[in-house]
Amino acid sequence: MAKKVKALIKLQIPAGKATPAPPIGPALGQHGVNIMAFVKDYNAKTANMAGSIIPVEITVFSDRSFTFVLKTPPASDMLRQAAGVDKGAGNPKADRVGKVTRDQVRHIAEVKMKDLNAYDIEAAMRMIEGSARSMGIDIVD
Amino acid sequence: MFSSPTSARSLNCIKRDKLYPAEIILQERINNWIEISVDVSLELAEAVNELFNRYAPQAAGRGGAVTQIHGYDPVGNEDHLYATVSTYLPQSAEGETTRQRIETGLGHLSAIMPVPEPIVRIVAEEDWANKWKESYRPLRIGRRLLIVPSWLRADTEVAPHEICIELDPGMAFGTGLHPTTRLALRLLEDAIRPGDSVLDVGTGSGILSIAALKLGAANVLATDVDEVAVSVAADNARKNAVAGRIIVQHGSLPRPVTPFDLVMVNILPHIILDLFDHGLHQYVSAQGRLLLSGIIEPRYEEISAALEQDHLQVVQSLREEDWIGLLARPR
Repeated sequence: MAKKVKALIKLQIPAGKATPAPPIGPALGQHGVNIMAFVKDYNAKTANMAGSIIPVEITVFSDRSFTFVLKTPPASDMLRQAAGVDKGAGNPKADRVGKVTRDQVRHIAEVKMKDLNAYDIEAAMRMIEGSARSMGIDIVD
Repeated sequence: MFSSPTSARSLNCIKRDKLYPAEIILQERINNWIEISVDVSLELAEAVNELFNRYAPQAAGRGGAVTQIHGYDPVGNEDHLYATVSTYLPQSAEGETTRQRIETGLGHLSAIMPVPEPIVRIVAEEDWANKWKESYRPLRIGRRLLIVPSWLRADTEVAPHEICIELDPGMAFGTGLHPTTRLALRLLEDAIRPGDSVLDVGTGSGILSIAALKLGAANVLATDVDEVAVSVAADNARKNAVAGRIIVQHGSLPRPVTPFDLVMVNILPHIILDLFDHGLHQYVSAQGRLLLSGIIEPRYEEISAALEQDHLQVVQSLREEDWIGLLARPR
């Protein structure tokens, strides 16, 4: 018999660095999930991706068991790394914080393709370019 | 320095000030948190999540937003799905300022798309940390081990051949629920010999150390880089009346290097590999055994190579789900 889904929990956690502190602790704890078991599993599966933020989607079932899937890092996180900047612009209309090449955009689009609602790589690249503009990051050839 | 590593006395001789600091997590402990939650449609969830992440970003493994989607019904009808987006701020002056900024931000967002008023409340660690315990039941592991949550001890019947370990893991690793702990306990039943001296690196709740003592070990030196684990393990040792034969200390591999009859490490592959780099094999006596668990399958080859390089031979390995536990001894 299929188990009944109780909730789907979405979190963005630095790879290999999950701890039982908020928001992970309360988000899982309120459903009766064994927090430490999740922390250990997440850190094991993301240890080799240190430095990135790896979003995770945790499905909690009514018997308190859970499964989770890892997603690709947020576009903003990958753009920051590609441009070598700490954070995006406060006012992206006026401030430019850095630049990325079109090849870097293509690479990010390829990595993120499976999590994006895009039919082809060009559409995915346009989404990534949009994120870049909203952060004050220019795209150069 | 000292002749026999097996006496409790020699364990006491190990200098506590020379600990190899692995990944010591220095994090101030906060008990009370300001929880800010908004119930929104799935379309709005992303925007609110992004706003929370902007004002309360992830740092040192805490902070950031969480989105929970509820309203699943038994037939998989998704019409009633909605999202609760939350973030948690330390209850402090700084947390209070951030809360005000977030509320202002939500106000701005409301100008574009209506967002309900946020619900703000104070939550304490106790509110969520212990809830999973409601479903924690006594567990039988291996041939003789019975792990009993300490609050259920009075209601649990123990058969004459069973070895009962009372445990309150608190916020430390090691409940017996996780495959890695079960694998380590099953291997331990075979690996232990009466009178063994044991080193337990990354003891967590102390579950492996206590099992080792109850299975016949003479004494245990248990270490953990998490101070919470150190006090939890010591409490559990007292509950099981083995506190006199165990030393629990903060840190990773003890200094100076001392050989033990049994060395147990149930952590994760990258930390186990780091311990190998810091001379883990030197802690295993010539006739001793090394028990490793917490090895996730894709990284088994790396562990295997490290064992090979340090002339350790795998004599037994067990597997559960994606996890592998093994027992090795010097060639």
